[in-house]
Amino acid sequence: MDESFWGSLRAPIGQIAGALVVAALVGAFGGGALFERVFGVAPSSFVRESLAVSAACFFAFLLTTYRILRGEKPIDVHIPPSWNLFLSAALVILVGFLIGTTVFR
Amino acid sequence: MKRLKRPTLAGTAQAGHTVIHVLVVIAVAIAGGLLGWLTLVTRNPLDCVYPGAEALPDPPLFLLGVVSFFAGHILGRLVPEERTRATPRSRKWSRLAMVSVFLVASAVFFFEAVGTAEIAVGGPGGAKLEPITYYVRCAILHDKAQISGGVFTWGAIALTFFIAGHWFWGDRPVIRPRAT
Repeated sequence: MDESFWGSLRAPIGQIAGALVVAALVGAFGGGALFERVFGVAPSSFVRESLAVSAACFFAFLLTTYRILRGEKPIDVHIPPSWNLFLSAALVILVGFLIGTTVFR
Repeated sequence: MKRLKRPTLAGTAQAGHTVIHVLVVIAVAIAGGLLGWLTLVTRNPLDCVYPGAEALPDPPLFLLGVVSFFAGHILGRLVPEERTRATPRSRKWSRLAMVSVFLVASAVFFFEAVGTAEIAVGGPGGAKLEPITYYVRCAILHDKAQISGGVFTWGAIALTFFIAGHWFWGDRPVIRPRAT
């Protein structure tokens, strides 16, 4: 199998990551519209981001439950080594953002 | 007479791995117990305005989080040479944990969305929900001003960031299959 970063996108983890991105977009825009209708408040960008992550997590929950109930392995969260560089950088930025907004805001 | 085994690098890694994983479980149990106890014995503050509101931002707290995160990352190198196979029971619990984490994370981020929009509970005039960061800051201020002078906060930050760095970004050595 192609072990490069682009090659790994065809692996199950790449397909799952793609599905999670789609779920996040649906959460941000579809969820945002639903949020406005239910609560009568226009969603800010922070609200949309939270809805996006919430939708992605809920999709991961449904997918994992579905696979387990079918007797299959849960979603394979093994990260390909070729992703380490991107993930390391993203993780450091995310943690810095979380600490920064929690402590310094 | 029984000969003592000479310590090896692999043996040291195995021992370090065991010690870290036992200590983390004990620390999480203690921290969880303390937090539960504090929830029962302390009164919730009506708001987070303290005379010493300069308690935040707290640069040393930020530094502690960063150091703990990288400590967890680096200590990820301590892995046993021979990985043990998961038992069926262990596999069942890990699947339950995985499903629970996704469901709870989904609920938490939905709460964050509602909190960020500052929606009043029970209609106009009701108590407003706040973002999770507000409650974190409130807990830190409350701990510093009235509970432990910040000891619980330091412990919680160190433990949380150590676990995050160790589990999500552990510097695990890549075990390559031997060439035949």
